[in-house]
Amino acid sequence: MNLNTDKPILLVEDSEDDVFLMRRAMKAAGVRNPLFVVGDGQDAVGYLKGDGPFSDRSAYPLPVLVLLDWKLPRRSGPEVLAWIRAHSTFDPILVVVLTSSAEEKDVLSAYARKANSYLVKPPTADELVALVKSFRSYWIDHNRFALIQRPPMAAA
Amino acid sequence: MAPLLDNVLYVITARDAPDLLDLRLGRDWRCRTFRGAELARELASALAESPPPGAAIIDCSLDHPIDYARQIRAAAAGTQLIFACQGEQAEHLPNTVRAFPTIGSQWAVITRGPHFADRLGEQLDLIARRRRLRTTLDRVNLRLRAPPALDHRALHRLIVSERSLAAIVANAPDPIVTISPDREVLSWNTSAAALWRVPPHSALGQRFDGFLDPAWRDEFQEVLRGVRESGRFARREFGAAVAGGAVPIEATITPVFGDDAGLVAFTLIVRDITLRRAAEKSAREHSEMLERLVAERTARLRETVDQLEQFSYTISHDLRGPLRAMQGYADTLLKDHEAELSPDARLCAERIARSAVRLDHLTQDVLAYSRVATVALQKRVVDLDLLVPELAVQLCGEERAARIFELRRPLAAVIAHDALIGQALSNLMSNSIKFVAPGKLPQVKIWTTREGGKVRIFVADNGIGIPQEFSHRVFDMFERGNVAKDYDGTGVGLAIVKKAVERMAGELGFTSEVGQGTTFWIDLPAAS
Repeated sequence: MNLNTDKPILLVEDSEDDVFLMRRAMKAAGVRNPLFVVGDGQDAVGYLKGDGPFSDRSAYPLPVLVLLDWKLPRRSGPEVLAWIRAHSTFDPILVVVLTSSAEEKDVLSAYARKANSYLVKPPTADELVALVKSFRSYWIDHNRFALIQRPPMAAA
Repeated sequence: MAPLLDNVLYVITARDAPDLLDLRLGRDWRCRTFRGAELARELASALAESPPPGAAIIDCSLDHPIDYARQIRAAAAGTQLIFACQGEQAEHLPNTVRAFPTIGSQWAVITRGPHFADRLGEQLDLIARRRRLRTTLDRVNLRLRAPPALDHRALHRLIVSERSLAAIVANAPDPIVTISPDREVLSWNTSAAALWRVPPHSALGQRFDGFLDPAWRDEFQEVLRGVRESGRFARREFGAAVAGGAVPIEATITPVFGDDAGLVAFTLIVRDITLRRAAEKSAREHSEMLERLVAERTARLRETVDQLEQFSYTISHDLRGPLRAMQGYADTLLKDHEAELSPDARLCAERIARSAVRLDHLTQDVLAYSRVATVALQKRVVDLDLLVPELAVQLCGEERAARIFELRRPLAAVIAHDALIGQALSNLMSNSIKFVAPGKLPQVKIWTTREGGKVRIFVADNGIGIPQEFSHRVFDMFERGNVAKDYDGTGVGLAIVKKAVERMAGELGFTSEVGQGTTFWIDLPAAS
């Protein structure tokens, strides 16, 4: 059993195609962590807060890593990131921006909001697999995670 | 006391007894007597002397008394002639004298007799008094006409300058007004009369305040106070009250001080500034209109640029997503479902994947073009000797770069926008290694030359070359020239190069020979 199976990953992605391709690439790259998916920024915040259906932490465990698309419905990527970083409880959560935009201003704005990394979605499936492989090697296999100490407070 | 008459000539006959006369004449007057055979000669020599005699007494018992009178008159115009007559001779002599106009009117006749000497004395006294009076009058007149201390030429200059000033003021195109310290009008020239439509005789003596728009009267007094205190002129704008309403004026107010340094008047040189005001207003309105126009256009331009940026962003995000998906699903078919695919299905899936990749490249290039076209231009020194080797390694890796690129270092430094020059050179270099005959190792030489303030960057390859007939379309968008379909490309690369160079105010061009290679060049300002 993979050591990382109990370290959940939350994918915030509105494109079902990208979700499909990401699941496939992760499988191909040997990432075995449980993957949870929400389709917009509002749900991402709800998931982390444990609102409504997400209050069941056994079904929706807090992730150690969030893969965040930058352009999202309801609440945008920057808003979600800002919300996460505004709550120190979530300091241990790594947030990796995964987007199709290579715009300098987006990269800059992501780091300004304390993103841990910024990745551009590659144009082909093969390249995506290669990216996820290197991602897995660094961010999952080598990176040391901190544990979230307390359950999150009810947040605004 | 000096004799009353300096010189009296007494022309007498030999027969006459002069004693009594001599006694009287000799005491009060200096008198010379001529008589006898030498009379005519002696008289002539006496008359030649100066000053001329004050009076001459002619004894009419002489043979030709009138001849002596004419002789004396011819020599001395101002001498009083006294004819001494005997009896009835006194009655006809005046007529005889009047027959000779040259003798003039300064003569008298005295009859000999018991009171002859007294009458003669009276006559001479009268002459003396008249003469003295005339001398006094002459002195007074002289003093009145020209004071002895005054230089006549200076006086002339003074009069000319005074009259010139008066003429200037009278005919000045600007209204010129003099007012007393109490603001009473003292002078009012023709132009003032024209501006206010008030003739001088009506304006003189009036309070000048009445000629100003009521709103300006307080300020006018304030300015006068300032001018009086500072002793210096002031130029200010006021409103004049005229028959038709208010007229904007500019007045230059100068204080006039008297000999005792006290203020005696103010001079006002006035200018009607209606036209100037109108011109200023029109200029101001014009410039405001221009500013508004510039602001509007800038805003519209900014909006366009923003929309373009938004459009680019949309391309990068929204268009690329589906392309990625197309490629990804095709790849999934090819990899995960390989066994279920017929050879035809496999070919189709491959073509879908390839088309998606190609469309992705195209969108990326269009995006790059719009980025080059809209990026904020900030120029600085870019050292090509650092930039070009880096670009070479980025393009094809260290090992291949060393085999392909021949850099004639050091390369110059230029003034450029680093992202734009990087994009332009990267595109040229990538073209130069892409468009080579199959199986041929690309050889690319890069060097710079400097001429004056310009650096020319050369990128020369051994590629397939550009035929003459396509040379004018090389830099056009989506233009791929005659490039065979075996060469990948979107036809945007050189359009990006051109746009980037143009934005940096540089120039570019190329020379090419089909089958031999192409040399592109870019001119940019040299870094000093």
